[in-house]
Amino acid sequence: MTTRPNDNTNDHAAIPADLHDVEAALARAMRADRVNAPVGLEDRLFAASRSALPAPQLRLSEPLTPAQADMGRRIARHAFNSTLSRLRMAAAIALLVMGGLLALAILPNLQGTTSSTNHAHNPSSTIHLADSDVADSVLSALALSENSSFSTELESIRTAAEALDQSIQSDGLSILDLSETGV
Amino acid sequence: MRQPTDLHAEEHVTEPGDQPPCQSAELSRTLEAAARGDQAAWRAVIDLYGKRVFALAKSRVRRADLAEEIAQSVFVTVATKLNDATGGYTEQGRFEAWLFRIAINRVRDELRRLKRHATPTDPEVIGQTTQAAAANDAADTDTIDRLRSAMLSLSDPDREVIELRHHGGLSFAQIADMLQEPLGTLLARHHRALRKLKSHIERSATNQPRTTEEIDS
Repeated sequence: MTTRPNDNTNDHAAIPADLHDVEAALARAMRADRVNAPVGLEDRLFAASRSALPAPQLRLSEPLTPAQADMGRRIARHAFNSTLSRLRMAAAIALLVMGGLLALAILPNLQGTTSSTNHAHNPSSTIHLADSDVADSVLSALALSENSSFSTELESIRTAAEALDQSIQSDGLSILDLSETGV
Repeated sequence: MRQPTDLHAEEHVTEPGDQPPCQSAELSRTLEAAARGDQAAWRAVIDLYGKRVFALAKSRVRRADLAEEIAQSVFVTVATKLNDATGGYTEQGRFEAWLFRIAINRVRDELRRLKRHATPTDPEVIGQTTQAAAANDAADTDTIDRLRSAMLSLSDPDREVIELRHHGGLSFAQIADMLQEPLGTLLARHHRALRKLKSHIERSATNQPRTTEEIDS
């Protein structure tokens, strides 16, 4: 029982001599525990804990081999080109969408502005609209008045005027002559 | 620069689990590599300490399956915290103390859980373990058997000191730091525990009953 339990020489010296044999027996017993550990213990411990390790990182302190550097450059270039192509595509789509939205937003306003501008620079169109409105009103009024007493009076007035005109013509004068002479 | 696998090879060339690894420059480099995610380095760390953590756990819980579960939990925790800036491994040069602090805390948790469930220690299991452990050295069978029986008579704090010293391979200074006790107090406790063990072994050899002083202590 002279086996030292470990390398801590100073610690061993701190233990009284009469207890060295007990400590040596302890060391042997516990070493036997380790030796008789289940087969594949380390494999199972490794399998259970490896996923908890952080993701591997590239060590910048270690220089890359030319092949690694070339591969890295190619990967970086490919990634850059790929990213650039995607950015270009995205920009083109964004421009198209924006143009479409802009056109949709502007066209109705353009139509409204055009009509109002025409009205402002060409008052006749407004007048035409007003004329047509008045004519419609007159026609509708006339239509309403066809069966009224007013139309009968107009007809009698027209008949009287024609009779007067005939009598004047028979006298050798016209209405124009009468107006000139102040009759 | 030596690779982690070299460290692993050295461990097996000498005697696995016999000499506790100190915090050498190789170990520091291996830990740095493992912290960066180097799986080979992590495997080397497990090869160095796996059996020690397992043996520490098994000496307390007395069940191989439970001890392995505890060891797995310990190494998952270590792997997680190895590169964690907040609350991780920041005590450079004191990896062993940090590792076995995690292990002993995990063992304490398990023992508390076992006490809540009131699972008695199975003497048959202890006997089987003793036979297996001493199979290579039949001459020591009786001594080791009596020693294991004597270990059960120690208080939990005394057993922790013994186990951290022999399974963990920690120095008294490291154990004192870990358990937050003065070094003198820890040495005195260790000596007292050894004397209890010696007394228990000698008494069991002659089948003498325990003295009143031993029962009181």
